[in-house]
Amino acid sequence: MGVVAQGFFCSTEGIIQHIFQSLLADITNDVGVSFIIIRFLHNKLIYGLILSFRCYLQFFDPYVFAVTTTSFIVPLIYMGLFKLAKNKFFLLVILLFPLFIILLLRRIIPDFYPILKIYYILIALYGLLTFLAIRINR
Amino acid sequence: MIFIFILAFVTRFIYLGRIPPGLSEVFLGRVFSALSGFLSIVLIYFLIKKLFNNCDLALFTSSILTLLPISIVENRIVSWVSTAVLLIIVGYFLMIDRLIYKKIIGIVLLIIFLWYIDKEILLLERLLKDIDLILLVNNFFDLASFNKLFFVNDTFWFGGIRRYGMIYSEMIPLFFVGIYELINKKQFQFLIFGLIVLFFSSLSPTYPEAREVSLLMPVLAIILGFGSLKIFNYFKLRKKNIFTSILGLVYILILFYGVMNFFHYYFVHYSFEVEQENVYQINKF
Repeated sequence: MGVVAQGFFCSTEGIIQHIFQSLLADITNDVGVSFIIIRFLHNKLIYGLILSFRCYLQFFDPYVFAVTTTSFIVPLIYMGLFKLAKNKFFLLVILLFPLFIILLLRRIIPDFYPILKIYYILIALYGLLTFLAIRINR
Repeated sequence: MIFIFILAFVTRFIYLGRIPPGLSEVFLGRVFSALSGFLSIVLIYFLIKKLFNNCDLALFTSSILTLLPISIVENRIVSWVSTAVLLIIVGYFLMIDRLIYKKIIGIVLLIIFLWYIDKEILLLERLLKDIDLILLVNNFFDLASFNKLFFVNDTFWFGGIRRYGMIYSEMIPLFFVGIYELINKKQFQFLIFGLIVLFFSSLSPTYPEAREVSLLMPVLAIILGFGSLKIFNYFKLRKKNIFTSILGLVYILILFYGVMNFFHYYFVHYSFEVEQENVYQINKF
């Protein structure tokens, strides 16, 4: 399941295409293995779930943060995310934002990187503010 | 505990001469590597038991180290990583002992470990040269990315398993809970060791091939051990609730499925891929 990450953020079309490519490659390698085992281990559902989850997790990945913004604000982004996640509303927003991008924004605005960049920078700013607040309170 | 050790022994030594395919003269080297891996698993059990006085945690950690994809891959080939991991565990084990002479032996072993690693990756030599800081930081985050951790670990390109991350994607909840637990319990030493490994792995001259990152395996096992214990206790406390019981059972099945899938991949697909790559290498070069 190697290439979904190419070009960074995946799309639903990319995932579907990749499921079929992976299945084809894997099933043809299973020479002499029982049909039931092949179907049990190599099926669309499992491949789809793993690839979708991988795609979703990219939006919280330190490397993606580093490349979309800059490496040095990655700790601040995590700090911001961690602080925001303590509020249930913001936690929901943080968890749903990747789905909003994958399923909707990507189709409307193909070049969505600037929006994502602003989103990450805002979180980093919040992280910076909370960090400063902690330091001042000490 | 005995079951885990038997499992560790079997997974390290079964078909060792055949899988992965290789030359017959490397067999002895493989045996040494597998033995190092097996001893690491046994020792990490006693190390965690001694450090935290918790048998369940020790059991979870050693069983996870037994089943980790990078651990199996590295322990079944001629690998300096397996020996280095054993040295780290033995060194740390002795270092935390009350007796001074054991502490000294532990420190000496850790120094040997550093020398051993440096011999492999020439870290000092590279640190003394000019280093591109931006590239270094980018490499660092690339190695720490979720992609490499959970899905595709391409740091060991030729002969390694690229289809799996360093840990199973099914273990993602255990990983995050484990990190939270380690921070909560102020057990920073493991996380700091992990960051150091990531740092010098990002200096690898052959980057993106950076096998040094496999030294993370004991740290990952400890993180996942903490996560497993927390989740296990959570389900244990709520075992009368039918919903949580079912949820726990489903999660165990998912984990089992992930491990089974890996073993199928390792013993069926991986050999085939390595054979094909060998043929390609011979024809091409």
